[in-house]
Amino acid sequence: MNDIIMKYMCLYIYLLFMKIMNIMSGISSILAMGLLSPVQSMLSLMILFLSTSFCLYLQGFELIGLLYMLMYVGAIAILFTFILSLLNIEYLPKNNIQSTSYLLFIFLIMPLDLSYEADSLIMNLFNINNELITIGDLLYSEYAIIFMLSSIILVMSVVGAMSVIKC
Amino acid sequence: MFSILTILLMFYFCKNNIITLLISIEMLLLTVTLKFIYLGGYLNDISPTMFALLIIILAGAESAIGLSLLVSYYKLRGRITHIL
Repeated sequence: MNDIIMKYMCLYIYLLFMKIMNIMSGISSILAMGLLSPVQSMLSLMILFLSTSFCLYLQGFELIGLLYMLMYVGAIAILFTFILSLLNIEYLPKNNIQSTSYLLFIFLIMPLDLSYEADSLIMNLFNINNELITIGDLLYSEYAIIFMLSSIILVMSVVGAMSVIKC
Repeated sequence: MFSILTILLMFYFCKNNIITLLISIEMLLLTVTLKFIYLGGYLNDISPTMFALLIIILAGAESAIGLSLLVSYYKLRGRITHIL
């Protein structure tokens, strides 16, 4: 009896945490767009990435959640912050959105769009055991050409970035 | 579809700013990838996960190119807001 109560308590806390993460991702996606200064919008973009990766991790897509945190927060957000510190922009927060259009933004599906399919944990729990093994197999057998093409795209992007800055 | 429309509308209503444009492109890719992953979990399929990996790689390349364009635009014009 006690075990069952503990199990339901854990499930309830789990669902509540997931709902909180969904709502936080929706709010920070609105905040990241326009109504703050660039530094604060970068901060809310990081919050958006973190909450999205928490959502993915909690719903059973563990590898993709960890990869999101690694790639977006570790690489792209740091790149944005570095560029923001490099440039000389005004850092005062201005009201960039007209205040009549807040309501439009809030009702225009952006929070609902990120918090899609929130309660699907039970369906996904049985196929997460060998996700990494399956992805590794597929990357070396079926998707090998696409894998090599993506590596070539990365190298070309680095060379292109350097050549764009140079001239 | 809703995410594409919403992000374009938001970018239109905001004062146009290249950093906001790049951030909105990142959020657009994030939303589309999230839809792919949820659909893959719903259908018990692995190929949307591979798609998500490729989209993450493309997003990294795109943000690098976009930020280098931003720096070169700043060196050329001296400002990055009010681009239109």
